[in-house]
Amino acid sequence: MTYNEWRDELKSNLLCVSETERRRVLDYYAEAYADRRDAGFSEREIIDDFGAPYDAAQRILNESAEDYVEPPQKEARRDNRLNENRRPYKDDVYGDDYSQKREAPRREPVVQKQSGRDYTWVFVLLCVIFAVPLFSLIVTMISLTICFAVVPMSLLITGVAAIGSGVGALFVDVAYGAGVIGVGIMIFGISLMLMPLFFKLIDLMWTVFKKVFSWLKRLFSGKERI
Amino acid sequence: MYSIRQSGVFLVDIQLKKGILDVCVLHAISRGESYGYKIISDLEGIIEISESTLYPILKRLETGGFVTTRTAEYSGRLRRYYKISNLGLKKLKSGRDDLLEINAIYKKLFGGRI
Repeated sequence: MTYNEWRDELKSNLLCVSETERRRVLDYYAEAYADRRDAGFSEREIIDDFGAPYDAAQRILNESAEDYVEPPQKEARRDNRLNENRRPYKDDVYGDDYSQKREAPRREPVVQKQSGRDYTWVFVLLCVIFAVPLFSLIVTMISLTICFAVVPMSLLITGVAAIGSGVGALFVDVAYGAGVIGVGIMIFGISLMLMPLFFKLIDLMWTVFKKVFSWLKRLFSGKERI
Repeated sequence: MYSIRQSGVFLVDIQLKKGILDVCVLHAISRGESYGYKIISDLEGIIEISESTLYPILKRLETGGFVTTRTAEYSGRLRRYYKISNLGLKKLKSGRDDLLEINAIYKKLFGGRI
């Protein structure tokens, strides 16, 4: 299922709330989706984390009973067809009699079962066993961070110094001084281009490291999201 | 306090859980203006919640006047930011006191044993 399909299914399950509330919910999930994509999650991972659109809609309906409105007749009949393959719903929101305004039924939020035992101790043990390579990895990342930060700064300083010495050389040899100034400007320009790129690389490197670490920790702890 | 687990299923009373989650989210927002994904990230390690759980919480808090919201542009798209209100700070403090009380009762009942 793609995100667009997930979103459309959520929307079809929210026909009994007001248009304003429905729009707000869809905007909320669109924002959440975009933030997670920026953080490096795949579409599949995000949809898995969001859970089934039906369950997400039920949680929203439980909180939005006051925003309930009569669903449109045509769309309600269409959604009855969509609901055919879903789990039995004791108090069908749409029902048979569309003329009566129904209160959105209150349902308990779905809780997900714990996936398995807690293997946090295994994770800790692995960290102890692999302490040396882990430490080396962290030291390497810190070194790379320092290099990525220092290189553009060094180029910047070199460029400024070259421009400065070029200005001084102008009084001795104009051609030579102009050449040095030109080189200095070029180095300065390269440093300005590299700076945001290197800082982005640093950020990406630590983000990936943090993500992998959290994922491993979640994997061993067996914790499910609520 | 993370959870009380038995047979792999949350047995925490639903209302109690709602209250705890409200306190957790308010605490995350009390540190500074925040948004959905950041709230979830800040709570990672304390309590795992998903967007589908967070949305009703945020809506409830906003409806109750415990948080205020504003929408601002971020990287060419709109993002909704949440900020705790004075009422939210009072609720947070009250929630904190409740958790301390629950913790004290737990210790008296079970002597700190799990």
